[in-house]
Amino acid sequence: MPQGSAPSTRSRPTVLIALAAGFLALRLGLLAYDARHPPRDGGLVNWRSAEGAEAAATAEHKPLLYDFSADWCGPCRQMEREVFADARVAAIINAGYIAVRITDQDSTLAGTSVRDRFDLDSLPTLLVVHPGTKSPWRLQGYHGKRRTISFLERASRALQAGDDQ
Amino acid sequence: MIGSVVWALMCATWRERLSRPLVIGIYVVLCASQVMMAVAGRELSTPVLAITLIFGAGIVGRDVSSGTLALVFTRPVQRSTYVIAKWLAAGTAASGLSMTTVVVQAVVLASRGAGVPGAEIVDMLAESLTLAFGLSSLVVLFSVLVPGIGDVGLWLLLISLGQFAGSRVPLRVAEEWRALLLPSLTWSATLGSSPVAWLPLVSYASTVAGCLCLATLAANRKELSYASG
Repeated sequence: MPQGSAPSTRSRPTVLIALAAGFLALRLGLLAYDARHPPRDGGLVNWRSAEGAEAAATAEHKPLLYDFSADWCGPCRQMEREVFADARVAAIINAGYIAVRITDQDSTLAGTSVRDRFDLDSLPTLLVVHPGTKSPWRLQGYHGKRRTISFLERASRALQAGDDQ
Repeated sequence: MIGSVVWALMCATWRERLSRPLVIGIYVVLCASQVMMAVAGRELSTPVLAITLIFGAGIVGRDVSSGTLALVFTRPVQRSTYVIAKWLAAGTAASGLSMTTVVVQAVVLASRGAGVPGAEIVDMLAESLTLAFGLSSLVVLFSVLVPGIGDVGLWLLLISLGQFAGSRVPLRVAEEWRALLLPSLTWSATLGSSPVAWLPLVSYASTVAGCLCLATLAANRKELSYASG
């Protein structure tokens, strides 16, 4: 350093670069691992398509549970593994709801019409809707097993009492 | 040595940002309205997004525009240290205010007989903490790139772009865009789940580290004068 000149303030952020590169590499590795190890398809819930689901809900006097998901969506896969593959939760859903899964690949008229009607903009999204009520119960994103179960129970209780959200 | 410099810069940022009565008034109104909304809706909510944006607006850009940054760098302060200190100052202030608001909401709801389950409180606190630090890293990056309070303008523009293009681009692109602009975590879906979900944790860390790294590299390339803006 020449005499009298100020020391440089621009040192290379080596630690930050290493951290950023390391986390990025780990992220890509985990994404690749996740893609190679998909959850068991469908879990234990009796999912059906959107076609005729509303008529079935009306006939059976049950609310509809819409699950909007996608293969590439990490939180959707986590919800599949932790919630829908749990026998107790699956029993609650199968007994109390008409469960409908709509993926981003679903291009059927019924599927796209449901997506448009509920203004879907985030995955995963769970919607509980009774054919007779105006507004659905909505849970956007995956917030863990306990909160998802709590949402399903609250929505079910409220719909039985005739409340909209 | 670096620790004391970081601490001094953080204290200076807090003093500058939290000393004006108007700004304090805005924070109080924001937090109080969140508590009232929680009481009305019987559900917790966090003001972290608004608080982080208000606190972070021009966190570096205003120092550049006013010429303060050139003065700061007449001392032996590394630019990386300055960037980290600004990020920590914004993250701690925004998370502290938001988490306090969430705790107040939980106490008020419990006192009215509408207690919220502990897991939901922990989730909301974790979201406040992680969104505050995640969004702060992004705001610091934008603040290095654009002068004044253009950082928040740039963030709003990008998030609006995502909203506008949401129905025209594949859902996956819209999701990734949102995750990039709103980096946050929930406790129950990450460390609280069994087994621990590492992907969201690593993705979050990658976004924050990437933003801070880019912010430092951009700051290193910046030429400063006493009236840079």
